[in-house]
Amino acid sequence: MARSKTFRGRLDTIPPVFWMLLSSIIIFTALSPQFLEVSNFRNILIQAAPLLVVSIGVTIVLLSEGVDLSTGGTISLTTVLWITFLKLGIPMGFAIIITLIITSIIGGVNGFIVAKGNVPPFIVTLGMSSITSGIALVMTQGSSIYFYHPLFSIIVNSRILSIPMPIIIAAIVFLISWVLLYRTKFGAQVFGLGGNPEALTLGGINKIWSIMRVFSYSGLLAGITGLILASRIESGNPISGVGWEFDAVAATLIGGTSFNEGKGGIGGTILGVLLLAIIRNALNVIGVSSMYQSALIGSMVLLAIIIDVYFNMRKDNRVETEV
Amino acid sequence: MNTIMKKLKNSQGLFSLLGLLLLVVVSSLSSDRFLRFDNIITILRQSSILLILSVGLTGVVLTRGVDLSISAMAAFVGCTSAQLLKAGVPIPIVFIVGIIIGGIIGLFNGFLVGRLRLPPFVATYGTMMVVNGFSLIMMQGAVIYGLPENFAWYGVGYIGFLPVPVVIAAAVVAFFIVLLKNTTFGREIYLIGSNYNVALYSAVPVRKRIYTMYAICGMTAGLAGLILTARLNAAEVAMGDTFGLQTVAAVVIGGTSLLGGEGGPLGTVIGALILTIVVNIMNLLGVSSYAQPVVIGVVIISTVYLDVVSKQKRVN
Repeated sequence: MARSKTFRGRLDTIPPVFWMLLSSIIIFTALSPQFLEVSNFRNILIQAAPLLVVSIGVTIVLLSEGVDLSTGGTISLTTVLWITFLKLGIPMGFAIIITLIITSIIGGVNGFIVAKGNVPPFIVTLGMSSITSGIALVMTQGSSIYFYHPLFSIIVNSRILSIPMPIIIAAIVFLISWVLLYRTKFGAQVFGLGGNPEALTLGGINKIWSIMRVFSYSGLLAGITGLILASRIESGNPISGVGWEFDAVAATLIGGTSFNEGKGGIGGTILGVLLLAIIRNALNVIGVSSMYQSALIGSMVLLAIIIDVYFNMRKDNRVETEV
Repeated sequence: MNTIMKKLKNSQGLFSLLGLLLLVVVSSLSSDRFLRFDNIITILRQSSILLILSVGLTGVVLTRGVDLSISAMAAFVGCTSAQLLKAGVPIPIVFIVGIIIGGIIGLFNGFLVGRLRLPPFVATYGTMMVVNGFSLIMMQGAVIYGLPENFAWYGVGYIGFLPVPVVIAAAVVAFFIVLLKNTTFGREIYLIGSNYNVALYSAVPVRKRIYTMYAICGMTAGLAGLILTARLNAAEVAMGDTFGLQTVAAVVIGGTSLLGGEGGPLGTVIGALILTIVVNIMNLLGVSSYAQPVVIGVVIISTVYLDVVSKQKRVN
């Protein structure tokens, strides 16, 4: 994209989510002075960190012209698997590695089915979500399982240079993903899948393998999110991931990644995640019940999608012959 | 060429029917309670709400769309109708209001898909979240129960030896068969699904047809919500959750392709019956209810996979 020299042109390149973020900060500060306190902001960031991790994976899937609605189920299953492994006496390091390998494989299976059969990804990942959350329910018979390990508190509460650990984890994941996406062949293939899959095939790249890797990465990041979540709730809970798949897709879409043509990126997703976290936090501070929150966030997402599509339509200037 | 296509279509329906028969044989061998008259009536009754939901969905899937919001709509209409009944509104008006609410939400979906050309699953997934949110707001976490007995009749009553929901479901299916197979509207729906551009150039009012189809699908979802409320004699926000994926599964198992333009309401009847029998036999065999989502997930992924792959083979 060529940089426009005019002020107006530069304004246009700033994604809408930035203005939404700015205006919501201003509005919420006006409504509640507590909102701008440092401790509150730290809370917001800590709350946002695990969502950012899973959303990055979902963003990359969306960029490759797929969609991943299985992350919620994967997160639930991760908490249950991890705690179960620890209860069985498997050492911490192994438990983490095995859990993350399993979630990556779940993602890989998603990708394989999507790529091999050219099956709509939303139905594959919805089905997978049903399977994984079902397995989590069977493993725990529907209730939470508890275990305590000092690492939980390290993941949730410790700080390095006064930066809380969840934020550091999210930042590391973001940096690695950024490098993967913009500095490696993996990233080029992601954008290729989104933009021009035929060219990839002609270029001798195994499409199935690259789609599998994209979904697998999303599974891995959902697994990491599940680990952070399990540390926070100090238990394995078969329904702890419910709704996360939606938040992740929501943050991605609000962040400006669109379903077509591999537009957008993980930078916008940070803003999308922050916006969701700020709205949730502010509604809590102001005292709006969680019931209104889900309706509000659902409406916002729909609005964001509609605005995105609307502007794309105007830009494309497509003329539809219609009776 | 035409006859070959017809044969293929028939064979696909035959495939589902054979699956159903096989399932019945296996089920009756594995549990002697299965083929009892009361169990068969139970299966029909259990399948009726899923059937009403998924027959409506069939029309949408034929346009190469999908509606993930119907179970949320059913729950929303159920909650609304329970509130209205508690406020003393007469039953016929509650039914009309419920069906109209479903129709309006469906129309909104149709607008998102037909006018804004959003991918259907995105649009309806968003609608699902919004509608769920509104249900939460309306119910404030409460469960409404103890509805008028006259209303409960629509869920638990009998006409002759047939449960009322079964009769209603049969009527809805008949309506859809006529609508989709015997009218110009139905032909146009099939055409939109099998080739959008051809439909556009053949002067089919594509947008209007898509609006209408989603609106009708919303209305059946509203009806299903009303009957579900009557059967439970209660309403709560999560009442539609179990139907979420099952509706899509019923449609696809019945041979209606997610790629549009192929299949029909009769197949969906078979699909809904297959799913209900699978759940029923799992209950009879004492399989933990927690394992059911696993089975449903596996079934839906494998059927969709087989459907898409076989269709691609035929095209090539």
